Amino acid sequence: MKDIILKVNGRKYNLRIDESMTLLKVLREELELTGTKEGCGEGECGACTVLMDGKAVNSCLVLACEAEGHDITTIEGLADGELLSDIQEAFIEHQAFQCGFCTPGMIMTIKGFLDENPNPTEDEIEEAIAGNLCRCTGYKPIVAAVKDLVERRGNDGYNR
Amino acid sequence: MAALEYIKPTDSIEAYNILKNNPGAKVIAGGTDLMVMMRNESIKPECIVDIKGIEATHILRFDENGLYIGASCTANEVMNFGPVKEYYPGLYDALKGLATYQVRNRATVVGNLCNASPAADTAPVLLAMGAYLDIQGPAVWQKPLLEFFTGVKKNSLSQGEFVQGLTVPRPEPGEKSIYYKKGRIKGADLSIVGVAGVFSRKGKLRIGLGSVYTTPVLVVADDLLDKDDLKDRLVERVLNSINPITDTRASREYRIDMTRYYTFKVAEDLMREASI
Amino acid sequence: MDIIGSSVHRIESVEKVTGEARYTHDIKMEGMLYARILTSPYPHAKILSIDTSRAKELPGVFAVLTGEEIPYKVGLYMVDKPVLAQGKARYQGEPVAAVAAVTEEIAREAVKLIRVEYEPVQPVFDPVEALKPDAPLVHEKLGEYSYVKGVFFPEPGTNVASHIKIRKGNVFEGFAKADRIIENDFYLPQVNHVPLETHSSIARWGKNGEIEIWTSAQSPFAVRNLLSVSLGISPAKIRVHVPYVGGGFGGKAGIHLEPLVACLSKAADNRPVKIVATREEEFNTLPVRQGLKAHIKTGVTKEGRIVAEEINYYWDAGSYADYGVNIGRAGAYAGAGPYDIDNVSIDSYTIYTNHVFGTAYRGFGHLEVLWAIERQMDIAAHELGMDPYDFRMKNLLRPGSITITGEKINENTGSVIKCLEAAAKEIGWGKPKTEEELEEEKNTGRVRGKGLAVLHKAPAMPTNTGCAAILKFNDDGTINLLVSGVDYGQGTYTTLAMVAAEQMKMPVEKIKVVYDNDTDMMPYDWQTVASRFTFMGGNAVIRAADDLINQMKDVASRVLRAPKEELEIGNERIYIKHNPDEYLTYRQVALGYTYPNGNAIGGPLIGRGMYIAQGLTNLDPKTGQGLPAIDWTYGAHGVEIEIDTNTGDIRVLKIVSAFDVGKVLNKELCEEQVVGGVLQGLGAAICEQYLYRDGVLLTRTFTDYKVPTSMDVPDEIFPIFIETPQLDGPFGARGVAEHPMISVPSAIGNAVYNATGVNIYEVPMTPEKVYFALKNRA
Repeated sequence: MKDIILKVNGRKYNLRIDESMTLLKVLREELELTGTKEGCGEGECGACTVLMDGKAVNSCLVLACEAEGHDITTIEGLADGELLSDIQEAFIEHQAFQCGFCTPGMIMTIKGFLDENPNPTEDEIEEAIAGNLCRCTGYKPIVAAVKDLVERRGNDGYNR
Repeated sequence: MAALEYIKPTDSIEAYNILKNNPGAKVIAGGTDLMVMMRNESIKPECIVDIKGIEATHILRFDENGLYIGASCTANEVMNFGPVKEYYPGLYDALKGLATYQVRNRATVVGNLCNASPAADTAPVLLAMGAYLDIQGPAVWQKPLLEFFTGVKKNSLSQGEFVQGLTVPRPEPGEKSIYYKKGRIKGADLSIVGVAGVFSRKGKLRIGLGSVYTTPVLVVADDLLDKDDLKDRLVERVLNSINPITDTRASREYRIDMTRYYTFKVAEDLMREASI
Repeated sequence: MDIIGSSVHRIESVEKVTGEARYTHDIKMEGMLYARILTSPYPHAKILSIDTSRAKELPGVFAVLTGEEIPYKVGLYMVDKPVLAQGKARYQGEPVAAVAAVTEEIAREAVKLIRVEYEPVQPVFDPVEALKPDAPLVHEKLGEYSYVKGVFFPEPGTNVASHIKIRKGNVFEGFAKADRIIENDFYLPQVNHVPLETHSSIARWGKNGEIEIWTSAQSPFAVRNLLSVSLGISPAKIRVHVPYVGGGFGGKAGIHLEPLVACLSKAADNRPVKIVATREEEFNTLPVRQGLKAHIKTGVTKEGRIVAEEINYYWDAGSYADYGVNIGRAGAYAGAGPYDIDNVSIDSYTIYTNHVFGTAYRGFGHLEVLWAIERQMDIAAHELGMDPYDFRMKNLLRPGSITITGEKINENTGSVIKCLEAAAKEIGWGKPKTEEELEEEKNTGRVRGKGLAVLHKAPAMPTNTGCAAILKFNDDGTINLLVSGVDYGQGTYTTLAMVAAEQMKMPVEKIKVVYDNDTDMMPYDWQTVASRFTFMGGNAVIRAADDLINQMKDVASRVLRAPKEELEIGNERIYIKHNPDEYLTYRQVALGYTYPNGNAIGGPLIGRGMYIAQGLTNLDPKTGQGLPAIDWTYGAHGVEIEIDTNTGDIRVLKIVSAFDVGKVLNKELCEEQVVGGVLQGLGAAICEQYLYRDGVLLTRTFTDYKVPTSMDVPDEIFPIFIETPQLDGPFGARGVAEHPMISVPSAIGNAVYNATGVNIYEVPMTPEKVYFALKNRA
């Protein structure tokens, strides 16, 4: 067992964990942040995507110990109270989800990606989310949501 | 359940000593392969040595000696490093097609090599470019990448040793590189075949190949450059150097045909580019 | 109609984009234990002994079970599936023993301590091989199983779980009239549903003998019913909750892990027990879409009329056919496609093998048989030298046609002809390539082609399938809508809210559809499958609304002192038609009307509505004649692809998908069903397949089993809706949930021929398969 301090969504947590625990498991089971999902546990589906120092990573492939000293952001950290982030709003506007299980991971990938590349092409968007499997939507509404969001951000410089 | 120890040394020698004294220890850098192997219990390490605490493993540098990639540098960091796209387009291609965006934010180039998969995307181009590794043993020593792969998922590191970084020599003026990957789908997939090529008019033609042998393969064809039927002879030499298997991703026959097609394409594209 | 036909966002949107939506995966309970299973490494093996003693001794282990201790069988149509293997294992991956422990890690360790002694026996993997008299039997006691009699026809002593026959006209006479006879074999492998949320269930078997379940399932009442039958416990003692569900696609219909965790809970001091399938178990242990081998013989005249068709369908049901028998049945009664053919004979065999077992999968039976039929139609047209479009137009069902089960098509059945016309027009069918395009193809090795394919499907369900809905007023005149079908993202709850709002003439925002699905609280619904929920749920909601309106008018007529017939509703008011200023608001009658002096009448109003399938019959055992279909939704795809002949890669440039949905209820969600379904169909067409080696599954992770990613989408997906009203559908609507994926493979297969002149008979059309088909042509 190991004591670590994990910083998630701006809050610091003192945790005593088994060293073999993944970040995903700690988020879901210890911190009860169940918005982050497990779809395969092997880094293939993207449902567990969170941000680590702003970069989208599969939390199933990160040991919780490795995450110490880094800023973790999960889907729960995106909205400000009831004020949704513009990505979440774009997802609703374009109904870019159906069952919703891949959605938190998808949104976190897009958050990390757009922060890095604010003006992507359609191909770049498709490439960025290719590690987030979605079985319901056919991806088209998701790509449409991101394209629309990029345009809106470009127009009013708005980024929430 | 065997308990797992997690250690994050800040010094290379310290890391070496820990590894040397713990036969059950494994190095973690990106962890994107290691974590999967631990999950399906194909390996059961007793101790994880996180080398990301070692400052030297974060070096990413381009100078007269070439490109230096520290062992903790992720695929996306390397891909987005300015000189890579300009001087190492083949490496850029390989990184772009490596796994997924999230995996590339963790996976390291060095880890991709150390895992020693025949399908490692960065291996063909790095072989073709003559990359060599900085290996941390009792001291740091250098080893050509070509001598590193010893079998499927096997490398030549001795107990305790780990790769601290690698150097990709600076390309000659006018040198071109390229990498093509054939998967089953357009999205993330392991390669059915991967073909890299490096070419310079000054007498260099190297082909690196993935997923067609127990290890990544290098074919040197500098001697063919002045031949009229260069491409045909190159393809022949390449096909003589491989021995692909049939697996769930593709048959041996398809791998051979795709190797032929992409080798031809690599040669054609490189020469067309070089003539511009 | 203001609301029906508009685009209303999913009512649960915020929950889903914020991560607040709770799935079974996310639920944790006080005292909860975790289950893990031990699975068979052999595809077919006798279980000689199981030693669980060491597992039981591991600290933290509460219960270890084997098939011997829980001798229950479950099944929807054919009760053939043990909760844990009994006596023998029938597929590699089958659960043989299970553990409940305080942590998942301890449960996993305990599983490793279980020792099983197997004796491998001869397996059988090919459904046609399995029909041979000397084939090993997968179920020796088939004759003792209970099943739905008169609907399914098992053949004890063989591997045939059910044999469905369709006979129309006389095929011998029909073939005698044919100028040409075209005979082909087609094949589809097993595939996986790939819900992003793997199967997961929690159960608590209380000391009072009552069972409470939380599960990622499509059909809470089916879980309750099947568990009740299996365990011999009254359904009143079983309570099933279904929270948010992360994808189903048929794979979560019926019953799956629920009985196992229930039995574990009973054995583990009545503590709640949870199981979450790993992705590997999702592939290897939980069910799949059945494989199919098809043999089709078609007789045509030189004018292009189909005069006879003889078909054999051999379904690879895998090791259990509890749901699979109905796929063999649906694939039979829909088995000739939407064509008007006088003489048809179909034999559809659902066959046990030692593969992972099959179950429902979006459009079950239909994607499979229509791969064979729609490829066959193209091949027949080419052999006749006819345009496949013209050939289809000569033979498609139209008003007056009689289907292969004897159903007469009328003007309101829906029009496959209109669908095909629309799809062909939008894809630019028949437009020749320009000189430049041909030159370009020659230079690049990338050739283009177009393909068409039609489809039909009706809900495949029992004749007495029912559904009920409740509308309850809240204090402020808003309404809670209660149904127990499950909305796992398809958007039915949103659509039903629209139906209720339209009927109640009030804003859709004031209808709350209750998401906590609970068999103790919700009215009955059979299953959320078969594209039936909007149709049947919609009808139930309309009736519930009418019932509520009637009660509101009762109260209002007394207060307003006007006959009920003179009352009308609108704007959340009940008013007198000829004097709209005389009215009561919904709010005034919601919980009972109170007069100024304090007297009160009415009371909390509750509307209830129910719907049961009308006029369906079982099919005649010898001829298959009867009425299996409550409504047929027809459709057609037109597709344009580009094939890289150097590699065999297929790129879909555009796919046009037209469906006669009767009436579009929610435009945006209807289009989304099409886009998502088309991509799922594309997966089945080009990359998805189960591969085995000696009965051991090789494709059991996402590394080996590829599904389409965002980079694999067609450049354009273009939905078209035809609206021929279904007279008994809600506002004229029919279901369209499954249909988008049906016939996508066939349209692409036909386009491959159009581009290259090469016929493909097997999916998936992987680059390798296409490449070698092209190479071997030379």
